Amino acid sequence: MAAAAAEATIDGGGKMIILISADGKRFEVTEAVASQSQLISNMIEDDCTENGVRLPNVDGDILTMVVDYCNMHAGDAAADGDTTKASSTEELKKFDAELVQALENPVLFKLILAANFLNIKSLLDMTCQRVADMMSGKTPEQMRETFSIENDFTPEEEAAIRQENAWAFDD
Amino acid sequence: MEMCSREEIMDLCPQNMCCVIPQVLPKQLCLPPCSTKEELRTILTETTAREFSDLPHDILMDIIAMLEIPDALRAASVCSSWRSVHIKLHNLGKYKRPHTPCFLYTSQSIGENIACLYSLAEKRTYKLTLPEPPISRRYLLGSSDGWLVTADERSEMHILNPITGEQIALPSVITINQVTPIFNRKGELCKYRYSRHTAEGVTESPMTLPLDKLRYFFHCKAFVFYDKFVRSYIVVLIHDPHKQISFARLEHDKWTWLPPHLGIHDCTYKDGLLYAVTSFGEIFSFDLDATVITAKVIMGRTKEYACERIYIVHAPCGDLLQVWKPQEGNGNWVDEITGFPALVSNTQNTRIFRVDTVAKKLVQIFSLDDHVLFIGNNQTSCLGVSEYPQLKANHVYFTDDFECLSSKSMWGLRLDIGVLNLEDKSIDEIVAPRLFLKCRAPVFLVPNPSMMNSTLHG
Repeated sequence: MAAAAAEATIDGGGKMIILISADGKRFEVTEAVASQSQLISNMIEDDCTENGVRLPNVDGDILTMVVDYCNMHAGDAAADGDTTKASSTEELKKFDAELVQALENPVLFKLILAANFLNIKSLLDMTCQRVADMMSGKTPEQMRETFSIENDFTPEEEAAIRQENAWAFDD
Repeated sequence: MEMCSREEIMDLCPQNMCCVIPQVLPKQLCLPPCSTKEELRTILTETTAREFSDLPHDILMDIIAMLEIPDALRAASVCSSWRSVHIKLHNLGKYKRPHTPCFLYTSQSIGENIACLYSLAEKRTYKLTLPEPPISRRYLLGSSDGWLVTADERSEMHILNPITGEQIALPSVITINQVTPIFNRKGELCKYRYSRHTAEGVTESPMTLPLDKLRYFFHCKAFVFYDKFVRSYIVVLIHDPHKQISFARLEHDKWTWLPPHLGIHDCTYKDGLLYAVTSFGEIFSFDLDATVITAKVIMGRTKEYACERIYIVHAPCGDLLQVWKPQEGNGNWVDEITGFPALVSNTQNTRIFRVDTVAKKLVQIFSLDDHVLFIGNNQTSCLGVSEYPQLKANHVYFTDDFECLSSKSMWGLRLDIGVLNLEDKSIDEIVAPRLFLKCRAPVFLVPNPSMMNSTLHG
């Protein structure tokens, strides 16, 4: 563990935090970037990040995306501070849209879990909205296909459930 | 996410490392703090879901709460896990926001007990089978918070939630000040006597009307409001003569007349106060919970002539808005599509004002920016498109609330329904082709999946 690196500061004086993924990848980010995770923000307050933060249920690939997202959005949180770093709203919208559109199911799923675990509300909302968008307008069969979900109802159960609100299934 | 073995977990938490699992994870999952590695392992295994059906229930609930109602109902039939989440969501009523308004219409040709619900979000129509009496033979008097207010063939009123099928009969129309029952020799109700008086006196001679005709002359527009202080629902009815107000609480057995105000066009409700706007743009507020109900003048007369339909609504930012929609004019215009004669619509000249309650004046606004308005026989509403991305910003969705709407559909006159673009004043169809050509007044309805009991006792 490189303690020196973990406590390194950038020119602006902000403290750096090291995040370590489940598969041992290390990410060096500023406090402002990391604090978008409420989980890490609490840890910074409790002063227990100096040896790096291990995130045992976030893969390196997923953490890369999370860190990219937090880097892009760090401007939001510190809007009054360094304006040169703050990304424009338009850029952010485009970045977010491209990020969620590109996600394949297993990655989207892992990103939701990571956003939930790290408690990054905006990322969680955005990824959940993506799933909601993928569900909208679909029949139950199409939803099962989209998300690879097994139908665990008996035919009788399923018929009874549909009957309760038959209008919504009227094709 | 991969499952972790016991050894791996132990490896994750060396003494000198800051490890987030024991401190935070149990809290996130609402589990009790774990003390042993065995418990820790269980938690980690539980969070290593691979399938969408295994998403933690609180996340799945957030996702389903974002869906429009038909999507949520279909999602609930995907698998048992999703179904249990939907049931929990329904019981808790934790929907993210009111749902996107739909356009509701009935027609005897579609089915007496069927209401068509055109979803503005999904751009498709659903058919709802509703309880008796037949919805297609009722007048739709209003729509608030998912509840329709209807008048049936006996001119009696119900509130009805078309999504849940829940229906409640309102106090009888004969308990309204202007209406008395007439019984035949057998003691059966056969007609109504409609006394056309206001607080100032009789304005015209009384009418004796068959049961189904009272609603034609008497009922105008109705609203359902939830009074959170008393935890009960209030129904407000605008009725003739001269558009007065009566109101009833659901748990009461009679209507209460609220004289002397006349010419009321629209009502809204906020923080325990009823706001009513008149044809002259005056705004009054009433505290219906007070022992003696008095009107407070929010705004005096702002118009010289009562020639427009006036609406009132609170914008999401809290501002009070007034909307003036010009009446249709007479003309020899013929509807291109149907060949039916039509009145000349002036809806493109609708004006919107912000009510400056301090300076007591109206300030005209020319753009709604990222907001939309819904006007018609529904409770007027103003929504932000950021929450309702399928709606068109800076547009006014309107349905016909012509005073003699029943005669309009009887004569085959084109209903004035559409979407007004405030920027270029163009008007589009809400749904084309018009399937509701010869039906009674369509209304906008905000689908509400909650049962009333859960609101009252939740």
